[in-house]
Amino acid sequence: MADWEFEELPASLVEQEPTQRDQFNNDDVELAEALVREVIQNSTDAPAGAGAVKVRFAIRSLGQNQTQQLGSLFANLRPHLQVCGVDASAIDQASVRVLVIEDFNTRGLTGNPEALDGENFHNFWRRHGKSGKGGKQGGRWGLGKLVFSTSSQIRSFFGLTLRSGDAAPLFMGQAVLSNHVFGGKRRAAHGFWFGARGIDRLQHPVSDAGTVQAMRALLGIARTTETGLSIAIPYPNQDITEQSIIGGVVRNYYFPILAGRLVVEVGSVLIDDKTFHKVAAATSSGGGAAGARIPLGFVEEVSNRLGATPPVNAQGAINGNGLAVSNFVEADIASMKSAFAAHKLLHVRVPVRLKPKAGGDANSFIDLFLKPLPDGEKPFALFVRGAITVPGENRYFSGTHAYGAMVASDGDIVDFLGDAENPAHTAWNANAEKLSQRWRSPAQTLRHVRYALRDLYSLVAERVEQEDRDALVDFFSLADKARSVQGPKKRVKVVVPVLPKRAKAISIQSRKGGFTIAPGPGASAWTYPKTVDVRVAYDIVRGDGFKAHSRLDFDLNEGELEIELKNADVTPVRSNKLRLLVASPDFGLTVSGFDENRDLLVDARTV
Amino acid sequence: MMQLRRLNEEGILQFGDWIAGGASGALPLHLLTSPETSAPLGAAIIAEKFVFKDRYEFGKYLNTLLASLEPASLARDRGLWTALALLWFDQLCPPDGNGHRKPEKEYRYILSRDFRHYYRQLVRSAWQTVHQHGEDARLFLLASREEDDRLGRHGDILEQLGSRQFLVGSRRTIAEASRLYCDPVTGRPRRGVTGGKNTGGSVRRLAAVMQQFDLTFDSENMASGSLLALLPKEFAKWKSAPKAAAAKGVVTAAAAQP
Repeated sequence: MADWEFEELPASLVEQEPTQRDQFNNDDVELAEALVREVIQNSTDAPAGAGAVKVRFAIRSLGQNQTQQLGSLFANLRPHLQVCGVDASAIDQASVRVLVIEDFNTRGLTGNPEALDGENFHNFWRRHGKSGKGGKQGGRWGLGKLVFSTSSQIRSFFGLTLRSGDAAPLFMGQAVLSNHVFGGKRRAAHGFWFGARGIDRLQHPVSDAGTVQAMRALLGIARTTETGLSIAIPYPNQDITEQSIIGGVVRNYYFPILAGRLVVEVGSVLIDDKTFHKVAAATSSGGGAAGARIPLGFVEEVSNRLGATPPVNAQGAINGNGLAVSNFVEADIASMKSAFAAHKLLHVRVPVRLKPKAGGDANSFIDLFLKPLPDGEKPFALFVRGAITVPGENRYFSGTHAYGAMVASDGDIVDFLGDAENPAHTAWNANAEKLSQRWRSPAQTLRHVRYALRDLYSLVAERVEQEDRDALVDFFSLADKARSVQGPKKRVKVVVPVLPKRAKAISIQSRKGGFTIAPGPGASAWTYPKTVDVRVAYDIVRGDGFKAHSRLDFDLNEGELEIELKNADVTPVRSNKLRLLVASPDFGLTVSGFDENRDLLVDARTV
Repeated sequence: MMQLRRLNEEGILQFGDWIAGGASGALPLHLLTSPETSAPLGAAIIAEKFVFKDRYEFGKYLNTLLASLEPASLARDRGLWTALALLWFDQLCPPDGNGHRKPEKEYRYILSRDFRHYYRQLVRSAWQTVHQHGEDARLFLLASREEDDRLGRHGDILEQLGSRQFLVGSRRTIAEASRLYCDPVTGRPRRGVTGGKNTGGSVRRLAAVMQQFDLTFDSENMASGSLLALLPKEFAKWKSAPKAAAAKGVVTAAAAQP
């Protein structure tokens, strides 16, 4: 029977903690966004054929029986969570969620699952901080998979993979906690949910059809015979919702989606090249990863030109002095300037000479796209490596008055820039260790690649003169006398319909050091029993007090506050959230013992 | 000695490129003198290339050096702060025995326009904190241990409080925080005050609790010590520690009297 186990650490081994979680949940990248970026990048790294890669995200709420069934899977994990200080209360909630992420038209975790062969299965399950990826692939650091355990409130996830030629899928689970002492023995941070052990005590995935089918049904995994990888994250972080995932997809993967290389399904929403505009328009946050609004028309125009032969090719690689007049014949400069002045999309291919330490120099290239800014719009830059947008590089196009895109799609330049990328794939670093290990003069090459788009802009835009008849209209405008005789606009009387006032069912009353929740007039119309969720936090001037709450402010689970109940039962959900099961209209909840120097924020609503 | 000039956009760009390229080779000090990359300040200010023992000393020197300039316009003078970072780059990012440097993020040296990063510029932050908080700036600028002091150290306390303008801009709050967290004898922050967001009584928690107090108290106008008295029990270990140390300091001082 498969279950959780954490390896015993020999006393001689140095303890190494998985401390890199903040790289996937910080000011620059939020967790849902990091999850989307990592998942899709992994999937696009392993395409099975020429068609578009499809990634499916689904959040499933489990029924009562399934909730219990899922909870029982973690009975042996719970004490380890406790020792590591991980809050396991999510397991005991009445209703729980599972996030399922699956990719299709991909190869799955290839390699021998029963050997340390450096292949994908080995890298995904058994390596931390080390990646087998390189070349055109997106990953490099071997840290991206940490986002899966980080996304679970109990730091755990399951994975099912099916590879070409497999008789049955392989199923395994992993928990990433911290090094800890359990049962009097030092234990590793990584624990596995697995079936049996093999040579060298290696944990083998479960392939028994009955168990796999039961887990597939419980977790809501859709994969049947298609190759690829399915991940199930139980008790996902509260911030991960279908909306936050859709926002992450729209902001980060607009380029491969519009180019027809990627299809994403989030719940019932399909995001492909045909539906993208509609989905993006309905997404509340239309901003890009760097905060700028994405001009989708420009991105689509660039996507459509990707396969085409560029009308202009720069002469000679840019490694020496960057992109300059000397890289073009005079006629090309003239044609680029006139095309730019005519608001046409410029497409220029620029050769880059790469110098790998192993082997001879490699000739590669980047594609640059440039278009003048439409009236009233803000500048926008797109830096793309393979399928990944690299938003942190946008600053190298700042101060311009145009839309620009730098697309690196050729294998060698994708390989080079991949080595320069940070773990979250948001920027390139000229001092990256992998870069200096594998390439000669990488800083200079990276600098010229970064500035190529800006250099091209300087070449074609610096002497463009345009007539703008309205440029000084604010300074020299003339009053329109015709308007002054029109008189004030007539007011239209709006009749506001009188709506019956809705009777409040819940009354929140302040009291010294706490609050009371009592029934309002509307409570008599309720059907009992009724569930009411109560959230409490200390208020703040700016921002959401509930989100800013820390268990150090107070913890409703810890008995430090006094709770009085009348005709109701209470279950703690989080340190600042209670679930009230109300039995009759004459109910009441009083909580006291809060810090009287701080204002209390209370929210109560029916579930 | 060098007459101070501010870098222009071209100078800042070239300095940034030099950092992005690994800051290898000679310092591009010519950017500070060439008219193509820098411009004179309104006043003639001569900077001495002193070696500073810590960031607090550095901050005090900068306040003396720049005393003739208007502080309000000075605070956002990107060209000046970047020029000063270049001038003291050897101390902000010293080369190792082999002459190699490991520069940190560009915003440590070039004053960023991004509100998320501007307070992280190493020269401006030293000047700003001493300018606003005088001796209490030691909370931000000194390490817990003398051997950890260096000019290129931004420090966790500054990182955690620096982005919260309502805190870092309040003299009273920072004076109280300094009383709470600093050793009254050494003036240095005690070990362990930074902690994480889940560490009770940490600096980060102080920022969170002050945000809550901000709704009901005008901390800027409260009497000395009142704010500390309000802090919840998670801060108890820091509140009691300074008293003990201060008492010890008084006894020692009294004992030293003839």
